[in-house]
Amino acid sequence: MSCRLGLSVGESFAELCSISLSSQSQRSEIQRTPIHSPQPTRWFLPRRNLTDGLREALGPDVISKGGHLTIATSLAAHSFTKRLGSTPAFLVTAGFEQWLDLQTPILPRYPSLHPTRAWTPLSSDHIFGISERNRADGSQETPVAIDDLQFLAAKLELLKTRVVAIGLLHSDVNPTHERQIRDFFVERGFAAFCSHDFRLASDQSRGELARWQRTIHAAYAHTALSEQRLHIEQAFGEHLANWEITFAASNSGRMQTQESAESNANDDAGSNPTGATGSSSNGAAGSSAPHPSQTKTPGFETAVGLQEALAHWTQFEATSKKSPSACLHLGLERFFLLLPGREESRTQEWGPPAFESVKHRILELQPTSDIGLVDNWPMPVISESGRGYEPGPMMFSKSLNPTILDILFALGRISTIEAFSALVQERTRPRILETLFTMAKNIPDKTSIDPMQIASDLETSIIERINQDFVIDSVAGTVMLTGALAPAFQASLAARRPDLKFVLSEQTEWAESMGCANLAD
Amino acid sequence: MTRKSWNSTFYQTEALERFLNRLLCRFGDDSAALVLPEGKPLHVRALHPADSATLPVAIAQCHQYLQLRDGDIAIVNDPYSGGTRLSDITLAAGVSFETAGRDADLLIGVRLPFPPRMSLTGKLDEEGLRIPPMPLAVDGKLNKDILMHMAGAPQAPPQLQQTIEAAVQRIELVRAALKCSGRDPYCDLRKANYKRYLQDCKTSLKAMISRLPLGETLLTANLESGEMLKLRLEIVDDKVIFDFSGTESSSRVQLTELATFGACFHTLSTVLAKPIPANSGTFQLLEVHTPTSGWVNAKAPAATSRGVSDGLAMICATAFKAFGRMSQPHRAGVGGHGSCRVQVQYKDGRVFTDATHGGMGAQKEQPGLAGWNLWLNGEIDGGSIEASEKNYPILIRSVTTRPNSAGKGKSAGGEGIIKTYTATEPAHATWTLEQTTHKPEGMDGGKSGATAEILLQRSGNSEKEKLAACGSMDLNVGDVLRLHTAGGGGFGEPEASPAIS
Repeated sequence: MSCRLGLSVGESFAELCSISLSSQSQRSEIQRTPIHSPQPTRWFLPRRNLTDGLREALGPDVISKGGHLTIATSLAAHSFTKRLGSTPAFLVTAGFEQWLDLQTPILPRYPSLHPTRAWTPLSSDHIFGISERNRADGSQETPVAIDDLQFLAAKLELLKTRVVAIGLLHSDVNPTHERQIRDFFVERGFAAFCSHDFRLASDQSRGELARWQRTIHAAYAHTALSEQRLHIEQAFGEHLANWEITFAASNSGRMQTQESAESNANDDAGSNPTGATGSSSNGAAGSSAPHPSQTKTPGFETAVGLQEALAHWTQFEATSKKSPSACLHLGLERFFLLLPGREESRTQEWGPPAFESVKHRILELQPTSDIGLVDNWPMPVISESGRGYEPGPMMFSKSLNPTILDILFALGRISTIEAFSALVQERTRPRILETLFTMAKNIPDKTSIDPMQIASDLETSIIERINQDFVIDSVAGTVMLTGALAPAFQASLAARRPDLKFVLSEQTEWAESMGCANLAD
Repeated sequence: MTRKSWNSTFYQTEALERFLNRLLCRFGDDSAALVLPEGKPLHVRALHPADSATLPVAIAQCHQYLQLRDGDIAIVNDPYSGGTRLSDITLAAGVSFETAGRDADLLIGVRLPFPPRMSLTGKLDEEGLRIPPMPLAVDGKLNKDILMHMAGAPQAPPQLQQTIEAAVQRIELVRAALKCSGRDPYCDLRKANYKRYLQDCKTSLKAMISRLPLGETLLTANLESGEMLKLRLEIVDDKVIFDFSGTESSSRVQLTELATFGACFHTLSTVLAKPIPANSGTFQLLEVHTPTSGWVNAKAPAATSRGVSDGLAMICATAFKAFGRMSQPHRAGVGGHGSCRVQVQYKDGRVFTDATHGGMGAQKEQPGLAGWNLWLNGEIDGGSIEASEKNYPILIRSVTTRPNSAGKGKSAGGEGIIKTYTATEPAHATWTLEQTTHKPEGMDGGKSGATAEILLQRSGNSEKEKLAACGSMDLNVGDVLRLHTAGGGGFGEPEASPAIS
């Protein structure tokens, strides 16, 4: 292997970095890049697709040498939020066709007269009961009626459904029935996912529900992920065989490739039953964050930039001889806080996380969180989640609502960021200020209507909200900042929290330098 | 860090509310609260309606009896010391903001719900072991002997020790965060920020109440066993009064006055459709009057398990109906609010319990959800089928929605649930059902939902026998219990089906 690369694929941007790794110390080193290199390391996906972007960034020499590519992608998450996946068929033990739906969390969590069940990537027309049953000890009570499957396969053909998720009761103990059904469908050209491959030790309380959910998620996003993987592989063309490609997994990892599901199915039950990464299954509580290179079993990453932040974390540890108390990643697509230790189990929209992994907390504020006035409080309020890049910030001439990125832009905090700055329309600055002026006029308890003052006050609010995350996680000592937007926040954060030491990771400088790494070792 | 564009005092309150909410979210799906040492609730994140009022009192009682200091943790489950029912265990801890001192400046508490045991006789001691406030950890040292003793009891729920230990870890995380809170002026609880916070929360709720129509209404409802609930709801300028005078006493369904207060607060939050901060500021705007001997004001040693679930749901449903009488947008069909509970006791002492809910009542433009109890969203049910079957010798044959159980209407009610259990070992089963005689009514022309029922099919016998609303009996291997929960009432006249020519 001649080089080790990290690729982070977000909703709108792809970012590439190179990591050199000493096999003895497991120390990583991010390659510094020459300024004004003609080769881009971040690109805007709607303009340049993954295949072309990778070819351009790596160049023919690097591609032909081969190496290790670790991919972090947010496609899994986006396939859910933007409904990009394809509805799979769900084959479940007869009598429990509605069980998963009945146990789907109700939203909102606060008392409401209009509760709804959370969206699930299933359709009641695509759920089929299978006549079979295992007992709690794994012994068989009713065998699978294979003959019934013939009829079912024909029906799925008519429905044009080619992906099947299989969830049977007690398959965690005895997966024979699930494998029988999987083999049956795989032989007929279907993609099939067994829930046995998605079991976790921490599933005890939610048992089959968590396992089935993960299986359905994997099946739902399978088509989109396969397509993305194909685009990546196409970049390497005839040299693909020289590359080892792995996917980093995170705590919200809803994904698993079919290949990995199959490989896990052939594993011994005790080896890595989760289908998660090696790093997620072998770590003890309190250990430091794993290096992406420790990722062995393919899985999929759903937190953009985790890959990059992890690499820097490891690098920082190696160079400073001590672990920072936290790493704040301020990327173009995602803000999150990386904390020492492992992720504790927490319930998300669809139950507990799929993979126990490094501890990271997605911040309430995201770069594309928008700002507006609400009824309850007489002041501008920043929304609690990012809206993504569709329609995107005002400075891209797309949206009508200012976002955090727009505030930074209005204040001149965002200078030259590779691939990003090319999309910024300078003429939108007056529009942003005009919107803030209008907003200021509508604040009932206003004391100023100067739009620059409003922008400055909003920046203060943003920093305070980030600081709340520090308080909640009891962050102390040194905080490492990574991501393209880190320089825009460093001074304000340092002023807000003089007791913390904010260290800008070299990667940020690297990102700023608009160059390509000397990718070969 | 002051703002020049707008009045920053509101920012302070909003920021503190967000901080407290996020902090208590660390307890996941468990209710949690922060209480001032003098006993005033500062912020409660209640996931069960009763918790908003009971949890702060349980925490305060622990502090009153044990003088909790930094690093101390107490445990309690006594319904008459701020608890709800014996299966819900409360942990309370002290936190000091000073690095040197250990006197508690704030109290943290979390409530851990476990599957409740049923008592058909109304005696508290049949529902489990009563734990008065007692120390669980002193100066950071967890007393594992107490924990092991509790977990080793045959009636203890599975995972008791692990659940408590995990909660203790979360308490430590929150304690650490609170100690750091002084590093942000908007999170700093040392500077008496909370006084303004409590006042602002009260002001905010007052403004919301002022938008409700003024007036009063009187409603009655009956428990399955016939006892009456009487409610007079009055909305005055800045207060909501729930007067339960005239409510009869019951030997089976009883809940404490605090739990009744929690039910009323929860209903008001639902009506206002806003997550109202539960604290001593907002509590001042509610007046709840209960008769000294009614089932809404239980006295020790009355059992509270059914009261905290079925009784509480009935209070919420009745109060909501009363709001609906005064305000059109709050009209809705009655849901299948009574839960159906099955408890199976085995010879080795293990007890399997399961609760299944009926369908939700429909509202204008909103059909009811199947198997969803609007008022008991924090109620614990059997959970995973696999976990139930692994822990107990029982086979759950199916869980499906109940066809034709929903009340028809322009918006249909939610369907009930059918759940089938097969005994795989001889055992003793107990069950209680609500709404077996009173159909969940529809609203504005909507039809009623189906009533709940439970059927028994003996092994080797094809006939199904309908059982009484509550009772107990021995089960043999192969006997099947089939539970049908109530459907929700519909809303509005159902549209006529097109004539078939």
